[in-house]
Amino acid sequence: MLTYIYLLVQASSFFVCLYLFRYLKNSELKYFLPYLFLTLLVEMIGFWQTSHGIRNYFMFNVFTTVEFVFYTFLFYRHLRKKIFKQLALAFIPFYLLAVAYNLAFVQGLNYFHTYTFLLGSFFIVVFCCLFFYESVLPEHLNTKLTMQPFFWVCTGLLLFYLGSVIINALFEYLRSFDMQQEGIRIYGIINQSLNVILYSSFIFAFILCRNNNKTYSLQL
Amino acid sequence: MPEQQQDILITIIVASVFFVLLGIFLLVLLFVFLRRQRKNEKEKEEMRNHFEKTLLKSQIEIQDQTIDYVAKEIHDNIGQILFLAKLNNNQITRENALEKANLIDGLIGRAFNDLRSISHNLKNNSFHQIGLTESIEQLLHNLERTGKFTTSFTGPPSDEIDGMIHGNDIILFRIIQEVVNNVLKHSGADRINIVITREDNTISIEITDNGVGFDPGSIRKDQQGIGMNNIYSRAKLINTSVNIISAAGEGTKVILTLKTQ
Repeated sequence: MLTYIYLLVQASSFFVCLYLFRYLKNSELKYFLPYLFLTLLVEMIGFWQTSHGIRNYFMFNVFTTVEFVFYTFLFYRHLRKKIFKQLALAFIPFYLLAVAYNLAFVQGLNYFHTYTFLLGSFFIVVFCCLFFYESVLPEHLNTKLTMQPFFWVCTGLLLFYLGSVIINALFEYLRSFDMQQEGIRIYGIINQSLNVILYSSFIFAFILCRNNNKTYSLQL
Repeated sequence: MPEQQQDILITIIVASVFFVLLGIFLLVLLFVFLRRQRKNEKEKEEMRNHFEKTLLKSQIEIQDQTIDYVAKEIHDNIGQILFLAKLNNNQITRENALEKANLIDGLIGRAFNDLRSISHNLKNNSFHQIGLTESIEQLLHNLERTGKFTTSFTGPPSDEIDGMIHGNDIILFRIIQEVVNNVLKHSGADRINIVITREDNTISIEITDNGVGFDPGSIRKDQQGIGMNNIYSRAKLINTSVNIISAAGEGTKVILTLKTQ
């Protein structure tokens, strides 16, 4: 049941993004359109593969790597301090190398890349904190934080990656035979609940982007 | 499923929920911090506005005092001299024509000198041009000119003081003017001394008179006049403490202590 809700919310986020694209095209959120399309495609294929008993770790290893690179790129565009921007930019090649090394020599292609997934999660949480830090600086006090679409993207990412740390760290253990399917069920519940929060926050950010655009036009 | 495994799963769920709550807590903390910071900024802005208003008010009051002084000088001094010149002009006869002409010439010369002095005062009396110490000297000089008061002023060179209190000098001068006004109105004094001393980052200004004095403790806060309230509120604005030492029949000493950065 939760899987369907999660897929529905995710598909909704893509369609909302598509519907409001004319408002998003002038903001950094425009990059969400291809990304959400890819996400939906991967999730659908993944769902179909799982229901047919096909292992899909390789696809998710590649997709989650793209996911981290995409979010880092968004942070690179939204962070204002030069040092933070440089950190985000430097993280992209570093992360790609780390994933390549992990898949080639450590965890292998046929297992979920938990080590590098946790590394990516850690950095996304760090970038979220850096964004929040920049938001409380005196020079940015005049901008209302809750009216900024990226704040909601950031909130979703923070909650998602903080909440999924434990289940991803114990990914292999939860899928082990000892857990008798209960582990997989718990993993699914937590992961999908967090995904609902994440994609809902994206939808909210897109709507906010449209509202802000309307406000600006009225002011003009 | 064994109980141990169940415990582990529960721990995993609790830990995950805990991490999500941690994120929510972080967001709440962010909003509380932002709210407090905005409040502080607003208060700072209000303080700045209040300071600017007081500064503007002080400037206008100084201008008003200067205009009052000029009006008084024209009326009491130049006006009288010219009136005297006119009277003498009307009294000219063939016999005293030369004597009166000399007298009128002298009177017009005096009026001309006084006018020039006022003009000079007006031109050079701009607070921004002469600074605090010279403005105090000018204030005391004007009092001396009435012939009712003897005054004295001691202080370090102008440039030494003015650099330290830049930005607050106009308000400080208005406080001193207000204290002197109080002396003129209430003390019955005929002697006013002003001493400025400087010690590290502290400037102390002592205004002493030989008037009737009063018991500072006997004046309740709600009984203080507008003048005293002005002194206290302005002093607070520029971080200056006001200390009044007085006793009946022993004159009054007002000490203004300003800490500079």
